[in-house]
Amino acid sequence: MRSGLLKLAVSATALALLAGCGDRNLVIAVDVLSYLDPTVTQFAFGPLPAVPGGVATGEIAVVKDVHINLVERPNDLTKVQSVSLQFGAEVRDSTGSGADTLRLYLSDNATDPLTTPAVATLPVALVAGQVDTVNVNVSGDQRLADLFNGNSLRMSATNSARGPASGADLNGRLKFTKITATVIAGRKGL
Amino acid sequence: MNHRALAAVTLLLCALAGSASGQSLNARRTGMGGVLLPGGGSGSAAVNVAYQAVPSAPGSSYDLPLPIGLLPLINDPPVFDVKDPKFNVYDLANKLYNPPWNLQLVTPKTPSSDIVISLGRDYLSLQLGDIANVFPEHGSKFGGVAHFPAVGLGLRNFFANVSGLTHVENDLNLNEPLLASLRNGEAFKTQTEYGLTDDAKGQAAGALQAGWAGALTRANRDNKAHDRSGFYAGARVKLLRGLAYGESRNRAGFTTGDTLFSSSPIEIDYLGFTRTAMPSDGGWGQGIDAGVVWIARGFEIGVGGNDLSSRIKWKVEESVVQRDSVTGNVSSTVTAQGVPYTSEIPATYVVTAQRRFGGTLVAADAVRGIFDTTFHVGAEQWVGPVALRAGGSLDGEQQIQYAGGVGLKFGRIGADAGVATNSRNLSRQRGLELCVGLALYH
Repeated sequence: MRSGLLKLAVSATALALLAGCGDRNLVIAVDVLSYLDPTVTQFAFGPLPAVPGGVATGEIAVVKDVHINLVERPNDLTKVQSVSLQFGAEVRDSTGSGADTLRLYLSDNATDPLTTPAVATLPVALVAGQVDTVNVNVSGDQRLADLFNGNSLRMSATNSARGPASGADLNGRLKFTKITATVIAGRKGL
Repeated sequence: MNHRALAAVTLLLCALAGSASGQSLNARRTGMGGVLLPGGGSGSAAVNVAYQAVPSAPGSSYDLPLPIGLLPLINDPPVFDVKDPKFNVYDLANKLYNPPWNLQLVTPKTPSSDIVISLGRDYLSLQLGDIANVFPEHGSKFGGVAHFPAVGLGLRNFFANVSGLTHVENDLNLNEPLLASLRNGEAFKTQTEYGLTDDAKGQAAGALQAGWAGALTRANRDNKAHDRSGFYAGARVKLLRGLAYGESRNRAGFTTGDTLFSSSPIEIDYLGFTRTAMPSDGGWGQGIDAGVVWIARGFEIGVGGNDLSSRIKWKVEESVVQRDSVTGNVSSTVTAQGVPYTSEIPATYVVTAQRRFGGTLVAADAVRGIFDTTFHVGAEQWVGPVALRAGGSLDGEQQIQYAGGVGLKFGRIGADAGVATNSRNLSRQRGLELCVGLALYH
């Protein structure tokens, strides 16, 4: 038996127990961050020199096409009703000011995530010497719900920074603190 | 197995489990906390064979239970198709634990928690909320021996009759890690063995019984006299003919590796061992029941033991059920046929006591079953043609249960109704059932 069947066994047990729980749901909390190599979940950016209008780095992929295996479910019995995504980061600005934007991309197994629209965008204002923790919650996206109807998905994340118009060069570090997906699945027919 | 056969098997299991779990179909007893009321005569001999010789107590009756709980079941039969939205595993299991012969006035609350699976790269946990009670901390055991009513005749102190019995028991245990993960929501761990064992057994036999029951001392030899004081003893030997036997011992589990979801496979280990015998494979056996009853100054106490060293011989078919590591399919292989085997019917012991205080009858009992001991106490007060009843019990889970009831008597015809709480359900929540019946007074 493949190890994935451990997840299948657990979800099958959960579903068997769910049968009879009225309108209650199977909630699958996926710690997406744990699937990422720690070396890619934190990185330094800069130096971005101060120039009028600021220098933009453009989107740089910091997490490249990671495959995530979800809980295997008997699909004829369950359907995903909704998915909410929590995306958080800690930004440590050493010098300079500017702006940064983190983007999270998810896709099905057959699609490159970066060819799809971002499922979450996290804009960060950078102020010299400040440490900020920023979070965004995304929910109600039907495309996201459809993605979690499958048993696996692909993920990429990008970072784009814009440097200061004047003053010191922008330098800092960024660390993902949370990427979790909460999937609400109910029995079909209920 | 088609759904109709499955329904039939389920109902049969319900019948067996009902008697095993202490459910009473007698409305008078139900209203008195389920206490045993051996009033004397052959009708009480199934509890304690010595009562065969005890004259019937004044006001004794023949009781006819009315299975009113079947009416809603017929109107809304259970669904066995897991894909049907109405399929409800709790409802099915609860019908097994608490057969629906009586009308359920308060049914256990349906578990209302969401089930949460938390999943990470090397993390898996299952939070079942209030459904976790499905997995009892100390395993799940139920079992019992039910004796069918005997039909026969007697001459002086000797009697002979035919009857039958069924014995069913099940013992389910989860090992500590699996219990912690399912009941307490602890995360699955690496390099850990998760396993469960389930041992089930059932047998049915016909019985040709013969015995002696009499008064060793008796204050008044007139059987029609109201004074029943005396010391009574009885013994009954049983010639048993095995009708069906089934036994299975199942072991299932898996061991996690260095990581929960590594690419290396996790093997689900499953090994089952079964013994089965059909009526043609049933042999003969024997057993002994014995008991004594002492009645003095209105106080009555009885001690009885049934199926003392009861055994039945069979020619069984033995099979091994295991999982094929290549195909993953579970298959059964017959390893031997016609194997001589002797099964045992567990002994059960009963202590009963009752006394009248004026117009109030107070009764109590202790019943030692296969896995547990239960205690019942009840009282009955007649006010004209109306009987008021109350009682309580300490069930096999050591929970206190409560009961109450009324009876009406019109000449020799009576009607009884009793309500009683019980926790015979998966989540051990308290329910309330109504039992009704008719009575024909002697």
